[in-house]
Amino acid sequence: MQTVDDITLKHARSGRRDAKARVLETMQDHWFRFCLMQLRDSHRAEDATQETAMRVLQSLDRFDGRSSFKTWSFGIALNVCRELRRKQLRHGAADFDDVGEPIDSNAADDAGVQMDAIEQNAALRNVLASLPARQREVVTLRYLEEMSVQDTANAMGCAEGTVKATLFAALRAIREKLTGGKADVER
Amino acid sequence: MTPLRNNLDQAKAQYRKVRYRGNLADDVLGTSLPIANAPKRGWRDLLALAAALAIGMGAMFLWMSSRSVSTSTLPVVAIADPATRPADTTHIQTQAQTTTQTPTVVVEAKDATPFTAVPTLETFASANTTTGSAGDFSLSVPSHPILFSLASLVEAEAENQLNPSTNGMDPGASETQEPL
Repeated sequence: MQTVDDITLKHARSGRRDAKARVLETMQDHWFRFCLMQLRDSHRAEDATQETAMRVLQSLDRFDGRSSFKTWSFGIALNVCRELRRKQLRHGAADFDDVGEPIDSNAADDAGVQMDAIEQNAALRNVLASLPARQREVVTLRYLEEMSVQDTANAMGCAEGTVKATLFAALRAIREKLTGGKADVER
Repeated sequence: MTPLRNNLDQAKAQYRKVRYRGNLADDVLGTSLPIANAPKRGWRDLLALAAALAIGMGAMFLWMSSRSVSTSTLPVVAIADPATRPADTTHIQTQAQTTTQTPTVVVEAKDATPFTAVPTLETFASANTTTGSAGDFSLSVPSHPILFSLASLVEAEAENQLNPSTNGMDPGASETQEPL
């Protein structure tokens, strides 16, 4: 994946607008895909992406380099998505975890069409939609973003063992729904 | 390849096709953080701003200091020429007029005895020097403590003329005078 180099980060930290713009241009698709997978609504995903970008820029001074920039920024995106989900629940709207159904693709706009592109595999679409939020986060980070278990744990703010256990449960659920439990899960 | 792995790979391929609509840098830096577009200020600008603030604060401090005179620093107004002091209180009377923004002491001489009242501190140089012998004279002073001091002094001096045993120009020496 295209990543943000240290020099760009250094310049962005010092307040250079061009460096900040480069950081955002590099990461915008990654953040948006991730938020779209978690929120399953293109408008909310755009809002979450922009909120993530603002928080990243405001927190650049606190990035200490212990993990990669991608991992650190995905941790922020993850928190933004969780906050939006909680806010939606507080306002009485149904969460996809509760409904367990995919989004209405008839109301698709440009980004919605892209969501459909993800979900061309209809079987996987239903399976991913039915996963609990935490399992969907792990699957997205570990398999779709191809992060290591350690990076996934860092981004989620939990232990590696928790990531492995959640991942195992998620893959087992996916496998059972896709293949009726006939195939083994590759861990 | 297992069906699960196959499905995940397909999902990954589709996932990577998703793009953010528009330009995030424009969306965020262009509107949400307008301060990012503001011209950058260097340390010289900050230094100049700090110096201007310091000068302004200093000027305000000096001005406030000149305004807040404690009564312990009085008297600040004195009769300039003892030889021209009025003979007794029957020759002058004072009253304060505080209805205007600049309080004024009106010194009224009841006979032709000349007198002069001047402010003795430079900070009150704006007060008018009053010289006269008969009629009404105004001595504009900037605050009430000055008014009281002037009135006390004028009358105390007059009493000194009547009672030579009383020394000094202590404003509090005259217990009988009417406060302004």
